[in-house]
Amino acid sequence: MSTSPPRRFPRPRVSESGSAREDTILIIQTINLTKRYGKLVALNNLQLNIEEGECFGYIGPNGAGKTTTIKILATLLQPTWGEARVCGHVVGYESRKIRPLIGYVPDFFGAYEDMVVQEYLEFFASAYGITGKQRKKVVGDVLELTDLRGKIDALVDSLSRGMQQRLSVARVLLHDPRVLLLDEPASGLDPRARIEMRELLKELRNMGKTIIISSHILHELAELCTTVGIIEQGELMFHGPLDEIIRRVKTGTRLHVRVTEQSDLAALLLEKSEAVKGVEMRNGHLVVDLAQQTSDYSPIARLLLKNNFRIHEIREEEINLETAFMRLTKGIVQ
Amino acid sequence: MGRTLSKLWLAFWQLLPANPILVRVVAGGSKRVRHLWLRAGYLIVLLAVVGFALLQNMGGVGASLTDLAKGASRTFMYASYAQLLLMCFLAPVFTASAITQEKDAQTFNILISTPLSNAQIVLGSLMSRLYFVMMLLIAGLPIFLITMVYGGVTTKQVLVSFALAGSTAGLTGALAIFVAMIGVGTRRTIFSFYLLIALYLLTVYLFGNWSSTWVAESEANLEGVRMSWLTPLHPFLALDVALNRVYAPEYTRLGSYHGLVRYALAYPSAFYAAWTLTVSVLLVAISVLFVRRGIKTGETTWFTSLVDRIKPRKTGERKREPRTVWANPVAWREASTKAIGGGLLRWAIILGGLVAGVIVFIFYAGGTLPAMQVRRWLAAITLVQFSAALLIATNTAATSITKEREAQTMDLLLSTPLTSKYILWGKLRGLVSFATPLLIGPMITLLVFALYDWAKGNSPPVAWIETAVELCAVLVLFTSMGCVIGLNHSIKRKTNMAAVMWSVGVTILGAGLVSMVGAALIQAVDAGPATFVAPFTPVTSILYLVDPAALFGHSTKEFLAGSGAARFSALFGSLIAVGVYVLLVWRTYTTLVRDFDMTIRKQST
Repeated sequence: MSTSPPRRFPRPRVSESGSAREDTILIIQTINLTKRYGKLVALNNLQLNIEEGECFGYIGPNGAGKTTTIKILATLLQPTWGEARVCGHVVGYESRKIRPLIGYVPDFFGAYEDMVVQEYLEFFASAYGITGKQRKKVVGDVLELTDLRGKIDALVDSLSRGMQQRLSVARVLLHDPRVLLLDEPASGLDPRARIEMRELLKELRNMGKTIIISSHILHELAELCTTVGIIEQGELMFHGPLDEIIRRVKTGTRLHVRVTEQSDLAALLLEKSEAVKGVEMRNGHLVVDLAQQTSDYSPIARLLLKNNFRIHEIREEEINLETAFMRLTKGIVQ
Repeated sequence: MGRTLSKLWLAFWQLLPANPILVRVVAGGSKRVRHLWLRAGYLIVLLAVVGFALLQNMGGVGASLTDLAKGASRTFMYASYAQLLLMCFLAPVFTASAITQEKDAQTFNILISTPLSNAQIVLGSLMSRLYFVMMLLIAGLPIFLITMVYGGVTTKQVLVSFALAGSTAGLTGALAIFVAMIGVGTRRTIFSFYLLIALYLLTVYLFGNWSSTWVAESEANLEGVRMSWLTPLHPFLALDVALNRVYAPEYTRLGSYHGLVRYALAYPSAFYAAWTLTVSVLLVAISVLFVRRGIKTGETTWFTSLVDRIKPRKTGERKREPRTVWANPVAWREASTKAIGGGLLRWAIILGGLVAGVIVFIFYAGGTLPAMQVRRWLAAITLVQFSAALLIATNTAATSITKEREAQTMDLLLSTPLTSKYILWGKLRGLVSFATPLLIGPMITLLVFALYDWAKGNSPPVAWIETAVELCAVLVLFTSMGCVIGLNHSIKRKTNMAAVMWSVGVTILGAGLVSMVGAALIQAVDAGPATFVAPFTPVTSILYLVDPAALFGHSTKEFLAGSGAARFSALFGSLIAVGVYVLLVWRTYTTLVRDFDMTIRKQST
């Protein structure tokens, strides 16, 4: 580890110690990050820039490359090509400097057999070099923060899935890391546990932690994250703030129209209109794409009423993270 | 009549030849490269044993027919022992997977939801596992037939040798299926299964060689050894009889015994094959009853009710007082593990050793047991205890990384600042701390005998005070060697089963081989140099330090007459052996550290 090979890419705007200039503090940066498993390209020239304090939602279909990215950032995998930097340190070259700065929560709970909650936390605290009285204090603090104080003597493999995920978060907070890498922390949780987990993550976000979270529960990510990245087949389809993705997806106005009868005739009628770009029948109602972005739907309503159709419902489709995701991805699985 | 026969034939056809579970394994298993290597390895070992024995025993060009026949007989003997030994190791390895495989793969519920009958499921599972073992046996047959060319080996002897190996494999398989079907099979069960088989074979064999268990009606061989009462219960003791190394009493001379006992003593090999077959059939029959009893899915049955009365099952969240974690968390984890070999089994072995020691001491102090007999007993107890400790330590080491990988805790550990060096050192330190108490029984016993004799002024004593320390040092180092072998395979192999199989195999083979070489060297050289060789191998070191007469062939009193020299050479030899093993363990550890990152990351991708 003493001699590093020549760097292939320019250094990020972050100093060696991990502190950075105040304007843009890039805490995570990937440059042409590529990972291959034999012939399979899991990541293809991934370019990610995540600033300190950001809560970054990482979305994509199964097998898109989310876990691979997070594992590389957690120093568990090495890139095939390109660079990944965490707090300015290059993964693979300076992994030992990165590990104390990150907290990694995988998409499973790694349960040690015959270990109670307090032992589990003390075990990892020791692994991070926290010993003696300091260890007791830190373990007490994280138990308090994650509301696990009442579970200190419970065996970890007998805890509910929700409690285990909570314990996972407690584990990564022991050494007060700058970056939290959370790989689908809400997977397999019941609704109550999911809501509690979301509240806990909000609390961490408010504490100023940089959070990278992958999840399939998009409306929760929308509530939690400041920026999102959409990945498919190892390629980043979008990366930016939440409102920007909505702006980008919203290229026209889409209406959902329901008439009381003869929907097919209504569809034919609307298709002939100049104001309409396209009409699609979906579950008995019409999805109408307007030629221009507008909030005035009266021409459509007037046209239908003029031709004796009785309108049951007419509303604009709401653009949220789910619709944006559906529009930006093709659903191709590697 | 014709229709009944046809129905019976169809039932048999569906039960075995056309059993889909068996067909799948037979069709697919034979093509696997791993199986090919194992078959080749098995045959190479058998060929090597036969080849070396033939070279050593067949004499020169002008050897007479009698010499050739004697040589062939000896070769057959070695080959038979090798075959039985390999079966005793391989049969549990292949059949034990039945215990957890269906549960791990979560395929059992799918299997019982099909129209397959209970018998089809049980026999399919059993035969698919025994198929591979039986194929090994059949593959070795031509090698045995070579020895028949020269005369001196009868067809009956070959058949008996194969029957003993086959019935041992069959019983092991039936036992594994039984454990799997009644649903108590976990990974711990697999290891307990191995350990119990190994301890049974070792303990009964040692007892079989104890003169108090010999049958008075049997004829003594040239060395004065008679057949034991335990012979019909043990494959190796029964093989001794089949190979005419020990003589079974004639049926007519056993008139004072009743039916079954008389038959068992007169025909121990046939009786062994018969009882193992009967027990196997019984176990399979019980397993057939248990297949769809719901025990696997947590429903209450008479069996679980019975277990619940003894040890009530805890439901929901389980609690326990937290323990203090050491500064090195990895070492703490390994040392305090309650996984394989932990808890009850560990305490049973520790207490078993201590209780056996106390019993021998009571007899010695009461004047019932002479010092020479006491030494033999202590050597046997130490050997059994050490074998158990070595197996437990090797097995725990073999699963220490694979277990982390399977429980998915390895990634958590690797994302912390702990280095490979720190992790492996922690594992090694924890494993040795975990295994050392298993050796405490013989050490304390020896120390008690030494102090007792010192206080009483008995000379020569059963043991010297420093013997306990010397024995402790060499055995801890041998156990550490087992730990690094286990760790090495735990890093390299992907599954628990493969890691355990390789580690235990390498350790047993290694310990056995060096002990055999050591014993041969000791026989070949003078007593002086031999005392320096003895501490280097597990079996010879135990015999040398506890019961030297068993190793050097002359009375302990004579050996201990020049006690100063004997004690010095024991101390000096032990010190050198400890030094050499420390270097070996250290060297293997540093190699493991170097390979750790590369191997673990390679596996994760």
